[in-house]
Amino acid sequence: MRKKSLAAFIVVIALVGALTYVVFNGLSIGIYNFRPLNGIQQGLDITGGVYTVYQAKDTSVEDYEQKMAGTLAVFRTRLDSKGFTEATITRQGNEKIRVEIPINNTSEMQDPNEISKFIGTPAKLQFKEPDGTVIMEGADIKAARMVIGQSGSPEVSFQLSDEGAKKFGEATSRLIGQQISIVLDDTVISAPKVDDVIAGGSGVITSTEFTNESASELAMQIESGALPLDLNEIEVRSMSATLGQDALQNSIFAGIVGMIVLFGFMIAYYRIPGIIACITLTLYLDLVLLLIGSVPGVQLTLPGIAGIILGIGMAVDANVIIYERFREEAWAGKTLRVAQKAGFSKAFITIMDSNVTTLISAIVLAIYGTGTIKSFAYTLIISIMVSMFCALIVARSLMKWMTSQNIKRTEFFVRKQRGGAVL
Amino acid sequence: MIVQKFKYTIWITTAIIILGIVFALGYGGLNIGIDFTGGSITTIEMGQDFNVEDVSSVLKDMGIQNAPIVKSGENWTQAEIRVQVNQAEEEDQAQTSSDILTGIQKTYPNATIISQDKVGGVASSELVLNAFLAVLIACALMMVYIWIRFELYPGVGAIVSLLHDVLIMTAVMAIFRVQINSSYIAACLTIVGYSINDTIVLYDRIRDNNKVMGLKKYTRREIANTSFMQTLGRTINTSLTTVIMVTFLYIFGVQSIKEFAFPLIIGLVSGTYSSMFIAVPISTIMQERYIDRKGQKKKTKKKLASAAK
Repeated sequence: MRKKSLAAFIVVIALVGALTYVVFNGLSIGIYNFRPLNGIQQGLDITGGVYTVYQAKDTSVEDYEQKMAGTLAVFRTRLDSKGFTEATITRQGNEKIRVEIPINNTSEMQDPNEISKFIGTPAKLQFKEPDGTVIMEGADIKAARMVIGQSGSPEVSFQLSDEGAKKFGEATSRLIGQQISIVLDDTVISAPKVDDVIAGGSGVITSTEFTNESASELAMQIESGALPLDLNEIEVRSMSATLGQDALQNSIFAGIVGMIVLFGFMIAYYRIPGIIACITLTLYLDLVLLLIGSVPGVQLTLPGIAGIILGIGMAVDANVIIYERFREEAWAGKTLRVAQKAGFSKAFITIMDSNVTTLISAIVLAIYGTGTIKSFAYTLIISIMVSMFCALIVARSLMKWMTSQNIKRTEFFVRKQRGGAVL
Repeated sequence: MIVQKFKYTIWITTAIIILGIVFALGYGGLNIGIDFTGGSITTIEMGQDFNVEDVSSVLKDMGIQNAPIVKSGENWTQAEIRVQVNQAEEEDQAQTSSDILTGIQKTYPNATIISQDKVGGVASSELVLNAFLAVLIACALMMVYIWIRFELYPGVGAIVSLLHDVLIMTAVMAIFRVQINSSYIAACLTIVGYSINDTIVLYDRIRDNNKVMGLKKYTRREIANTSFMQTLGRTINTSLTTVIMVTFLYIFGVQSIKEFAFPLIIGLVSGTYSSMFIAVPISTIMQERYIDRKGQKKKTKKKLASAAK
């Protein structure tokens, strides 16, 4: 029994050590390359980038749901066309869309304002008769691209859908000699005179103001379609990548320094149980990092790091509650083994009740918070769960094994009681 | 002891809150961030040492008045410009910030915008509403949980102590003129979750001691005091370790982490204090008043009288 316990104790320490190594250094077995820390999805405040929240101006329009879905699709197309494939687009509640775009040095566009403007611009294209009647809209255009025209200046050439071709053919046959205005977002960008019937379903838009860039952008916007909904940009936040990396480095450093001080304190104050606390805390940190890297939808953000570091403090609490109880029982004259058992069973309810209440507030935070606050809540929830597991199962077993070692000198486990009984 | 001293300890709380109100009034309100007011914060890296007046003159030329400029960054080479939403029309803001940059680049050619935050009026009012809702719901749910696991009055005591923590945090924010934004709300909610921990540990010990020591033999106050002494070691150690972690975060963290860590430190201290000196006394006094039978009440009175002698 005694030898078995000692063996189990050593095995657990070895396992925690190995796990720590794997979590921080990764593991390669043959073709499998396991790098848990790389799996951690970093939030925008660390990678750098911009997020924008758009709100629909009017939710009472017909087919609102469908138009909302269409808007999300248009955002996706526009972002992909600029190479922002990592960007996430999420619908928030009924009327809001949140777009998160990581920006790094290789991104095509660097200015956050420019990006959010680019994706959120309505690009409502209309072809109008002289009296203002709309002939057709951007939706009737099947494809559009930038071409260099005969004069050497950029133009946008377009292909119409069958229906568009029909409408356009009819209008051009009626309006020969008159001007058709091409209106983008209520601004006339070109007003060509109709020379001939255009029945083939293709044409070009020319404008003296086109540059290569603006022409290709317009072509892209026409092709991805007009935004089906009118949107307001209600929130924009951006963060530079260097700032985020600095913040990450600093927080990790703070965490390491804090851990060292904490370990020193725990060992000095609680002795062998303190060492057990350090082992379980290391395991706690490993598991939290693993979970953040593997649970989908959980991002590591700066408040999230704060959540982990706060979680370490709270994980210590569970250990402290147990060891204080353990010490009380030992001081009351019980043997270490009995004290260990009694200490844990009494501490169990306390730890349960206190963690469940914290969990309640973390869950509320996860439901009502947005963005970084939400990710903070997720890390807090993970932290609480892992800390309970570490304290109630792992620390308990380690303590059980150690107290069954017949170590005669109780001061390895508890310091001598000073003064009289507490009452 | 802790129950009898309640009439004194409550004044410490009151004094801090009054001080907070005085400071807030003196400054003309709390320092509320754009998360709540709407507006924009643009951070510009100058690439060199700079004069705040140069930046404010650029702003003045553009017709932006009363926009506070704060020096920040490692070598104080960054300027944070805060513009309220009513001063720059919401739609023009993107334009405005690049104009500001162009203006500044005349004096400091290396200037670049490193971050820009913008919150519209609609978004900000929603944030405030959600924050209040979150605190209310969290408090209500925790109260129900304590009611089920303990009794009603400990629940009341716990909620009052949480309210106390949030008030103290806000008061300290007012005294130090720290900006209140969404990370402050996150800190408040964290403390609401954390401070309840301390309270539960104490309640749990009292619940235990009610059986072990016996309510027949001892008064509620005596049991509360004994429980307080028994858990004191745990309370101090836990608070200390958590405060150590968060303090390092504050020391080494960047601005946005500091904004979160500072209210956390205040809340941790306040939370520990309120569990011992607010939650338990309130719960004990209410139990004495509303649950205890005549015999128990008499005993409490007698013991109090003999203690007074």
